[in-house]
Amino acid sequence: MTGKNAMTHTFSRVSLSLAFCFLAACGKAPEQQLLDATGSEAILPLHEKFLAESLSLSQNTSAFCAQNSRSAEDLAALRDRWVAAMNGWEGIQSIQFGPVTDDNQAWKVQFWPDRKNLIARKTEQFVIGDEAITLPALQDSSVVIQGLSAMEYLLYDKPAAKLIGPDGQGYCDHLNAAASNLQQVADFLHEGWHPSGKNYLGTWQSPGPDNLDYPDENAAIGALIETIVYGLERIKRDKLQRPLGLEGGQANTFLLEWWRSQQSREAILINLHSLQLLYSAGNGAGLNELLQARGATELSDTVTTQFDRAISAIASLEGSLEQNHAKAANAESLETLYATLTDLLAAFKREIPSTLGITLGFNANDGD
Amino acid sequence: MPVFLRFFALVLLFSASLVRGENLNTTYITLASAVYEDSLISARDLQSHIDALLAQPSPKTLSAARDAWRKARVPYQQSETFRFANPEIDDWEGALNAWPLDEGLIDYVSDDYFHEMGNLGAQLNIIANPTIQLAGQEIDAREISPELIQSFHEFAGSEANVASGYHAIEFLLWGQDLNGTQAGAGERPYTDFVVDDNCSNGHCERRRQYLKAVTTLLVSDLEAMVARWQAGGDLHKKYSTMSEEAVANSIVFSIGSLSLGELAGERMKVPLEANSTEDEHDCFSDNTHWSHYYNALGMQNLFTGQYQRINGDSVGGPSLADFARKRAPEATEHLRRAMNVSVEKTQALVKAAEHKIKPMKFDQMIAEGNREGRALVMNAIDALVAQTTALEDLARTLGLGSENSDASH
Repeated sequence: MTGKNAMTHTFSRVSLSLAFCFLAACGKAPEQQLLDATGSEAILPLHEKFLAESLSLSQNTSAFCAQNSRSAEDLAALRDRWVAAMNGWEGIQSIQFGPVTDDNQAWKVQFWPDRKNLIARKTEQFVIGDEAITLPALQDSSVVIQGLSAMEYLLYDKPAAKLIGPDGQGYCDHLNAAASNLQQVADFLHEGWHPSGKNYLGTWQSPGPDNLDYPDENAAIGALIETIVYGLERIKRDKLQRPLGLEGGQANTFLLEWWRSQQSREAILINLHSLQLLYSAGNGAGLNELLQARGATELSDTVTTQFDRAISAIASLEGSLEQNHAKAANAESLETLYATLTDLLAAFKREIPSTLGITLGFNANDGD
Repeated sequence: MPVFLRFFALVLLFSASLVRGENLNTTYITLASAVYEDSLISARDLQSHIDALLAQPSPKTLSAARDAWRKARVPYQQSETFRFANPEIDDWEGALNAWPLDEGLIDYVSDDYFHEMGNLGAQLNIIANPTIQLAGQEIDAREISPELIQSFHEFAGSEANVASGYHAIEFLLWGQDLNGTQAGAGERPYTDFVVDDNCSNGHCERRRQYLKAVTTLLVSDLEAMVARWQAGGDLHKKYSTMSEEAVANSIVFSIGSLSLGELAGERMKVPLEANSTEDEHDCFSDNTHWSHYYNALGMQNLFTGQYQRINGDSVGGPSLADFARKRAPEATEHLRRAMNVSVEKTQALVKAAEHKIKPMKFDQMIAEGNREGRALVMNAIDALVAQTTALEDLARTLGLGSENSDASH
């Protein structure tokens, strides 16, 4: 980074913080500012994006399946809409508190890792089964066939050819039902968080003795830290270490997150951007600022640098993880990414909680 | 009575256990020693029944070996709560209780066998192949020894390559459960172990070798674990020298991990939500309900500092419950009740699965559209989640269970 860019960066950061401060009443304690800013700058916009992309996917799928004949170009265009919705999901995938915990929403969207290919088996059974392929029938079925994962199978695996052939209506009906279901989940999550809906955001942002979920600010901030730990763990262990055999064993690319569409690298990049957003509240009064307010400026800056390093490492990987994970040219980036994730996890599991006097729950303590 | 005397009397009253030199540390060692010893005793019993089966294969000897396997699960499943706070045990346990397995590594499987995608070992069939060709290499598997089995465990880095342990033995005693979510477990015929012309499914001599060697391995693995809890063993030493608070930390951490991530999550929620019999714990024998129940009981044992051994004896001592009750009576009581509910709700799985007239096993409970089964499993999951929350509350009140505890790493 050149000196000029660094200046601009600092300037914009200060001015943004000031602007935020001005809008959000700076008289508030830094803890409350964190909850407010993280909600409005990270959690809500991320859910809005997922909702918008799911809606678009649902509409496009419905139009795709209503056609009398479907072309390869139509399929390619619909795949793009699927990728956009999947990206929207990856933006909120790490957020493990709030409405997502209500009736297993995450599994309706994504079933992974699917070691024994349940998705293919259960999708085929559903499509050839006696029951009509409708949204209610889908919702009564196994979660593995309900969301993005099943759609990926339909759009990228064997059924894809059928979708654009003469006898693909069953597959298209399934695709259509899954897209509608996905949109319903996105809607449920958005509505669950939004102040105009069920307003879980309000619950999270108003800790206190009467608040069952968050009896004090530490509990609310702890939920945020745990969610970041969860997101980092998933990237490190489930999205890299296990599929690529980074700690012994052989790589098994079927364990990569989106091996059918070869989008696993992109998904990690989006995860990291959204985790950084959850940390910094988009350069508003995020966890980074709270650490500074508590005198841990160095830790705050180190974590920011580590996020930047991890993001640039995954961004600099050439090609897809599925095809190119073992290429010598990518070894250094992968190593940097993996080591940086370890550093970030240490920060979020130990240094940050101990600086803030917060104890994490078992989920966040697991699987070091 | 002068104040200091009154105080002294109180201390005497409450510290009978202290006089005997008992504390959380000694209880922890007592319980762990007893439960692993029981696991060993019942594994040796299993071994003698397997010897009897191999000496004279018959429906009767096969059935007796299966019963012995079920009995061996009783203490082992109760031991699992010790696993999570102790990397020393966690590293060891994969050879004994890893699942789900790609059983085609070991023996014949049906045509519609589903294995982990990309697993090189999924269809090796060690029993059928004295020489195994793989990626240009040739592996000499003529003698099926415990060492050979060990060399195939987690073969090629895949966790699905489970060559040893309870579930490998379970597969050899029962065979694949081909009934899906319908009633019925694996139905391996005893003739799979017959050496003469009546040998079914081929390679009976090698199948016998495998069963014998894998059982020997189970017993020797358990012998090693028992020794580690005896005076002079590393785990005995670890828990003798730890602070009492660190032991409390360890207990909290291990119960929390088994409760939530493992039992409620991997062992119940995954199979339930995916309606996946592939993810059932004791999937060949349909013994899963018992395994879940004894997991829950094991957690309760550790909290209350009591364990009923397989011979009926009770062992125990000062417990986390005692330790916590003085400091946080309300949170302790809350957790005690929550743990009772967990035991009760996993007991309900047992009751339904062992019903005399209309039994519903775990693999039937998780069938799509089985509302009654789903409710049973969900109740158990919810109870374990509530138990974990109560445990976290207690830990917070006591200032325990933090990431920085030496027990959690």
